[in-house]
Amino acid sequence: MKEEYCRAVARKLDLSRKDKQRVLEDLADTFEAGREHGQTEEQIAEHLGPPEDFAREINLQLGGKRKRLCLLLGCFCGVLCLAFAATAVFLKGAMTGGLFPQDAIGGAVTVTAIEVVGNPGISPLMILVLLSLAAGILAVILLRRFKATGRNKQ
Amino acid sequence: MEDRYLRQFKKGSLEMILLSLMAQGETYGYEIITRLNEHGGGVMGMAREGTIYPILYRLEENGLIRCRVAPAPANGGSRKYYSLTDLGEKTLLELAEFWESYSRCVEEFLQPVRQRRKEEEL
Repeated sequence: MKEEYCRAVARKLDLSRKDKQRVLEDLADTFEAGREHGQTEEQIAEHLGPPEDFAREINLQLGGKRKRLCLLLGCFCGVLCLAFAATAVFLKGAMTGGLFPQDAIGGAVTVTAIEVVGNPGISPLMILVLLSLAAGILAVILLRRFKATGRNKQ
Repeated sequence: MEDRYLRQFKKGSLEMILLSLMAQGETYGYEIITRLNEHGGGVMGMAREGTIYPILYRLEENGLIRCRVAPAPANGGSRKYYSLTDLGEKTLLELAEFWESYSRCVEEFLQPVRQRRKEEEL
């Protein structure tokens, strides 16, 4: 019961390694101390409450630095996503507007232009779209994580 | 009354209460929570490890308490024992003084409310 409870808590803790270790050590000691005072592991687990609630409370109080990092990185990825998307839109617009040929990888004010012969496999536009998508997905994950550690069940 | 008002209220005093428990002598997590619940459970609500551990970590990081790891009596493992540092004792005294003047001040604000309540009941 104790091992199961501690494992369940460990799965839900979102803390630095140091904080996670000390929480789990103290949790194990709570079980030991409770047993010394005549409680069963089931009684101790009931007193502690559901493992996910226990972990949530700990995350809420101790997860501050990670939470701020999630927010910072999430916003940064969001900005990157928009930047890549804007660049892709501009590039697409430029190509469509005939500013330079679709397969060109560069251009010049004069008639000089570099044109790729053969298919490079993946266009710069596609790369930008993929990067934008990846940054967007990462932003969503990080911001959801930030929101999750900020939610208070009580 | 909404729970969150009580929660905010209790939050501010919990550190002072924990320091005062540790001022009585070296103690450990389970004992702290047991004593907290025995003496204050009816008013403060039952204290939980998930709330108390982070406060203890914070107090230790801020130098108000110290932690000594010693063998646990029963199982050969180890246990953390907490006690106040000099800074913790000083801080506790200051908090206790502040609490006295703070509660007097709040009581002055509440006095007219109590008075009005008494008059309405009569």
